[in-house]
Parts: sequence; C-alpha cells; structure tokens
Amino acid sequence: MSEPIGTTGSLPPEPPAVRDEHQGNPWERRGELGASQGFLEALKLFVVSPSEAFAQTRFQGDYGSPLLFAIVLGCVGVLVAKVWETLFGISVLSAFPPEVREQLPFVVGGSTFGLVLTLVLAPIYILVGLFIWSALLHLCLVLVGGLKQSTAGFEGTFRVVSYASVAQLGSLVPVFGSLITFVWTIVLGVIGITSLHKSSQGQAIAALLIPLALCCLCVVFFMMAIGAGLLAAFGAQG
Amino acid sequence: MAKTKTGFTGGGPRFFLGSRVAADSATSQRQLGLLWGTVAVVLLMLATRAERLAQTLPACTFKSLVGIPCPTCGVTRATLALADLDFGVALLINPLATLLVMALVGGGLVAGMSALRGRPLREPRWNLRPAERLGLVIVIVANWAYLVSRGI
Repeated sequence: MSEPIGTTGSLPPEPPAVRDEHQGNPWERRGELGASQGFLEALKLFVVSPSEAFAQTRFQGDYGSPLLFAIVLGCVGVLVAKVWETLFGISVLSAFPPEVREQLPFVVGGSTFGLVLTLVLAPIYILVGLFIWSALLHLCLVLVGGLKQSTAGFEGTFRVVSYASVAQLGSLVPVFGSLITFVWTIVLGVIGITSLHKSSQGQAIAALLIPLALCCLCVVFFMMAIGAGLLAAFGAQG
Repeated sequence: MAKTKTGFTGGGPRFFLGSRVAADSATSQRQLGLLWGTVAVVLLMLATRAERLAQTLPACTFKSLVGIPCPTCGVTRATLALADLDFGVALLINPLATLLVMALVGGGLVAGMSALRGRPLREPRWNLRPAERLGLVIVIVANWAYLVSRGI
C-alpha cells in the first residue's frame, strides 16, 4: 500500500503525485469540463474504475458537489424503480397467492401524481438519507478505528456515501436491481473508505456491515420471512 | 519534515495546496452546519407526520422470530414519542436511540444557526483511543441489554 502524502522521511513527495491524487474527479472539475460532461465522465469512471475515481476525489472542500451528484442519481433511481414497478409490479404480484399479495402492498407504486410527488420530494429525502447514513457509517468507522490516518473527517464519509450512489444504476436491472445495488454500494463503500480515509479494507468492511447488522437485521429477517412465506405458499399450491 | 494538519508538507506549490485545503476546510465546516441544520428542520417538519410514516414500516421480524428485541427495537416508538415531545417515554423505550435522535435534531439546529452566523462548526477528534472505543461498544451493548430486559 502506498504511503500517505507527507508522511515520508526525508524526501519530499514528487509534485505530479501531489497534483494528481485527490485533486477532483471529473464531476468536481465540472468548472473546466462542463456540468454534463463532468457528470457523465464521473459516472463512467465510478462504474468502470471506482478505485481511480475515488483516488481522484477530493478529501474535502465542498459538500455541494457530492450531494448534487447523489441527488441526480437518486432521482434517476427512483424514476427507474417506479417504471419497473409499473411494468412488472402488478403482473408479478398477480402471480402471488392472495394471502401473500396482501402482505406486499408497498411493492406497487401509486398514481402519476404519486410519482411526481415522489420525484419532487426525492431530493429532500435523499439529502436526509445521505446525511443520516453518513453519520451512522462515520460512527462505525470511529468504533472500528478506521479514522486513524484520515484527514477527510465527516466530509470524507459523506463523499463516499454520495458517490457510492452510482450503485443506483443497479436499479436499471429488473427484479434483481435492489440486490445488485446493495452489493455494489458495499463494494464502492469499501473502495471509497480505503481511499479517502486511508482505512484498511477490514476496517471499511466492518464499518459498513455494523450498521447493516444493527439497522437492517430486522429488514434481513423480514425478507427471509417473506421468502419463506413465498416458498411455503408456492409449495402449498404445487 | 513538518507536516500540516491536512497532511500536506509546506514549501513551494505544496504550501499553496496546504492553504487552499485550509480554506476548503472552513467552507466545508460551514456547509456541514447548513446541511445538518437543513436535515434537522426537515426531520422536525416530518415529525408532524411521524405516525403516518411509521405505519409504512414493517414490524421487527427479528423479534418475532427470535423472541428478543433487536438492538434497534423501539427506535420508531421512541421517535414517535419524541415527535409528541414525550421525552420521558422516549427515554424509557430506547434511551440510546432517543439521545441520538435528540443529538441529531438539536445539534443540527445549533449547527445550522452557527453556520448562518458565519461561525464554522468544529468537528470533534474522531480518532478515539481503544478504551474510548470500548466504552462506546459497552454503551451499545448495555442499551441492547436494557431493551431485552424490558422486553421492548
């Protein structure tokens, strides 16, 4: 693993290294590149080479850039999820036995007004969600000692969480989109934390899994119960 | 070689980078205050609809399957009690969650006001000593033990 800048003994770091590392990913350099090009290039970089993308991402200096990036992606994710729900939700639900269908009222989206309202309110919910998730993750990083070498502070975690919303693109895949998004978010989170906080991979994984274990234990068990219910229901039908 | 707070060494172009990072840091701290304040205001606005929002959440499956509350059991009820300004009830339901939610909202309001007055928010020292980290873990486990003992 490369040593952090400024911690070497006698020789100063090479200027190119100082210039290239964490000097802004394409979205953070949208002043030079243009907003749309910066966004698309950043998107491509985070998808194709997340390590390189996080290596370019600045440690701090601006909460607005990562927030805006996450809001745009989050709105796209909401829109795509609604489209899939509309296309597949009703037909998939109709295949379920009535007793299972009654337990899944939240699977199918509402009216067009509901969709518009969701899209209007999405940025607010995304902002709140990003902040709370970042705070939880940051606390877990504190717990596992993952911030020993960090100079990025809370903003580093906020940046990781925000840019990891690239994983929302996983929602483009029908049915398994949520699972892909979940795994992809974890992978991006680990890469981001190791890059911006200089934590070890073990610390990053532990920090990401602690809130999931604490907060999502219920959700995991809920999904397991639904799965078991579905199996039982279909088993009884067959 | 002396190291600045940001990790950059002084001299030449690196000095420029160091001062820029320091300026960035001040901007960041102000933005953090504004962001936290916004979150707190949104949460306060949502508090009026908390009961309706809570109805959309599934019940704790961990508790129904295992028979004991999960570490986050009671967070929704504690938050609902807080939304009704019933602090005592909230603390009885889940003390740690209540304190965290109060810190999130109260701290956000203070941070937001400070940022609006141009006073940057100072982040605490995040690099805790092992004993301090152990203390945090004990607090979380003790809170869970309380939830289990009360059958929350």
